[in-house]
Amino acid sequence: MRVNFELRKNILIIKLRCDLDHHNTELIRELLDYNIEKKEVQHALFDMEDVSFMDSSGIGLILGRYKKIKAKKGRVGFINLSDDILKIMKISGVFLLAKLYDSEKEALAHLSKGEEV
Amino acid sequence: MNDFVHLTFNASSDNEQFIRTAASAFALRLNPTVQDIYEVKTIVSEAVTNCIIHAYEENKEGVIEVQMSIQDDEMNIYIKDFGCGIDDIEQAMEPMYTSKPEKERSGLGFSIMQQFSDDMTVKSGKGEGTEIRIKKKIKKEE
Repeated sequence: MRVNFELRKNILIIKLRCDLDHHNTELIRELLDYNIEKKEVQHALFDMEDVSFMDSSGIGLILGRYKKIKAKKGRVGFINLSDDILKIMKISGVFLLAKLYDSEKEALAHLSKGEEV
Repeated sequence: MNDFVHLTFNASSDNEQFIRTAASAFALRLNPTVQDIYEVKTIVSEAVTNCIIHAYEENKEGVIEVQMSIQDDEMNIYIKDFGCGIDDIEQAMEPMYTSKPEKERSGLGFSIMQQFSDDMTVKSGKGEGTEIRIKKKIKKEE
């Protein structure tokens, strides 16, 4: 599987498990949206531990999902970023919209509190 | 004579991973840092993705050529397609500009390629395909 999902209350944990390039983003986009659009979901937490490569196609995928979550008045968080992925996400300005957390525990606590990013 | 490799392949997204991995494998003889390996992979991935999405509009019959060579501590990467070409290169290179927002393209491909390269030139014209030449200095892993 290229992606695993886990729902914790209203937070969807999306564990991505593939290179986030053009090829794979085309394959998983609909699956992500199907899960994000479920009514129980308000926030999304991307776990990037098993992502070893990401380029601008991955950025496009993340920004697109951010818009869907924002439409539900939810917030987006990230955990487990490698240095390389962190660099490309900083270049793209993703962290103006979403927050990087040190751990899943911290992310879940913060996302469920409804604080501003 | 400088070492080089020349790869010709069709415009299938299934080839993207192979080509960027081949580029990073070729760079390995320069004993690069982990960061430089990632940057080489990203440059090639962005360029090939542009060929597939924009030059050929996902028609798999399109042909892409990638040539890589090494000169001292520098890697030269040349990427050529025979697709639709770019009307306005300056506009295409603007950060966040994309001709395909409906496809969720971030418009960051060229910016990232530029940021990760030491030099990049783009030659293109409507109906004439696109050629990109990149120079990247490779820092040696200590």
